[in-house]
Amino acid sequence: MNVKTLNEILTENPPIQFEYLRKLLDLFSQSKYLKSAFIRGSLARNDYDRASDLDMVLAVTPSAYIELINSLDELMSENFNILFKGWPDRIVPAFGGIGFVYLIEYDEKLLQIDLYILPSNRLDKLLNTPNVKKIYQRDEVIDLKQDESIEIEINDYINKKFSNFPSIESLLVEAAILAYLIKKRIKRREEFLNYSETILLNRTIRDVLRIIFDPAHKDYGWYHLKETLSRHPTSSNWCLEFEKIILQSTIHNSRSIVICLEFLFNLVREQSPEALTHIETSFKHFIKNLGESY
Amino acid sequence: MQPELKKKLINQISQIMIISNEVLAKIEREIILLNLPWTEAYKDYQSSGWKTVSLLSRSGDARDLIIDDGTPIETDVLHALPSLKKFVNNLGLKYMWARLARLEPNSYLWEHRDYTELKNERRQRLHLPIQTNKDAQIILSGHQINLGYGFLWKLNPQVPHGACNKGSTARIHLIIDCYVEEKLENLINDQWLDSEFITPLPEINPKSEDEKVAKNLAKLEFYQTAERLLLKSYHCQAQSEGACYDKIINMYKELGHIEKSDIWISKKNQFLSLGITV
Repeated sequence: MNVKTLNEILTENPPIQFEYLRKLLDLFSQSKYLKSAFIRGSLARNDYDRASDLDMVLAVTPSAYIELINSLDELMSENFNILFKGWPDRIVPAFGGIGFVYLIEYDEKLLQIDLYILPSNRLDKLLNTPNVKKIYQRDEVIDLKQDESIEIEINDYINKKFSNFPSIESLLVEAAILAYLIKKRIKRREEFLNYSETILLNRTIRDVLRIIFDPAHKDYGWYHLKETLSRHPTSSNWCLEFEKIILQSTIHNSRSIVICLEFLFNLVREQSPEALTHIETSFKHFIKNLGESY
Repeated sequence: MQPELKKKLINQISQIMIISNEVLAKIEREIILLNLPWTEAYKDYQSSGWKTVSLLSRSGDARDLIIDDGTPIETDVLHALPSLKKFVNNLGLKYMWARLARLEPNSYLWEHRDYTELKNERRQRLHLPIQTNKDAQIILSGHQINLGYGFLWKLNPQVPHGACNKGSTARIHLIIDCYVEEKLENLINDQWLDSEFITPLPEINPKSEDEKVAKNLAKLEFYQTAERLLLKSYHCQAQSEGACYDKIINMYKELGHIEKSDIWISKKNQFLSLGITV
């Protein structure tokens, strides 16, 4: 009988995060513009579990930075089964680049991938952060010269990414990502993080309501929201529904998170269906799977 | 659909027999329960995700996957699938090769012609869907054809064609290559093609940015991704023969990668059997 060693079994069945880490590295290292790559978060600390996300940082040649970011969604969708386009991550610490969150589907499960793309001459802050491990270095000297015009261009590009008010489609993706995070907190019984992300999700839904019913003041946050939406029967009804969701609980459970996302989907489908053009199937599929355990 | 177009399509792809769900269910159950030695062959022709196992092959080995002329020998895999074996025997056609083919979700076979390396004889390819979904398609003549469950399908693989599975479950077909003789001719004489399985591909969208996106990817040296993006245009848009390969060739020419451009001229030649030398 062929008895496999434990090492052989572990090699054949790596944790899914490492399987995808290998795939991502194989993909991005095809380009000479990838200078180095790192992992951070639970994978670097070695305290990950089955639900952990994959936090990867890619340091790229500054002259190719913007082009790579612009091609990122296409690269990811052609090589992986991503549910949505990359969501610009507003939660990750600022290292001088931009982070994107992707949800990848495999074997009817989801894996969250946080990809942070950094110009290779801005590694200082990252390298001074604890629990960051380098996993790839291209065998050539890193050019740390700062080309001022490229620096300005990159800064403008990054600022623009976050300065524009997101579209409804983008907010839907944001809601899905947050719901996925909340589902993880529920499983791990991380009530404080559940609370924090529930607030973010409520804010996302609020912004969708604003864009639909009060576009002139879409960046007004919670200010006069109820009074504004109560002026018309249609918006008033949606506002009341939303109020019920918020007041029900300060943190979500498995059932309430699905109700919350269904509310959002129904709102957009009725009031702004064109926002669902590219993502309706994925969003419905996501809600369905949210109701099932990962 | 215009009668001329329908006639053209029927000559390329058609239904030739109704197969009962009971028979198919038995075959499917056997296949699912057996741990088949699925193997990827014809790697250049696909995105990955297309695997086969031979049931009748020249050598009698289930891993003998490069189809060829001859009188095939039953493999141990067919022997282990009695319902499938009974079905194949009962068809009673003159076989060249028989295999099971599995196309995973999000997998593609690029535009190509078959039988080009074989001697000049009349052959047809038959497909029996065992597991399928509505998003598993054969692409030919600017149309998507979903080979529906419950039928034996005939495909003339000497016309340019491709395949894709955009669904979420694997597609498993029995594929039989047959020499044309009286029994097969009689089946083909009664062929038909239900319109419900045919969807015309949209015309090329002049605003499509695929070529621009692919060029940007290639500039960043993600060559494989760029190529795949353009190859998939065949499965999404009605276009002339070899157009997807021309897009790749032109992309590399514009980028000054003459060697890569030449490689794809050779591939186009090989996949479509055009007999053009570089």
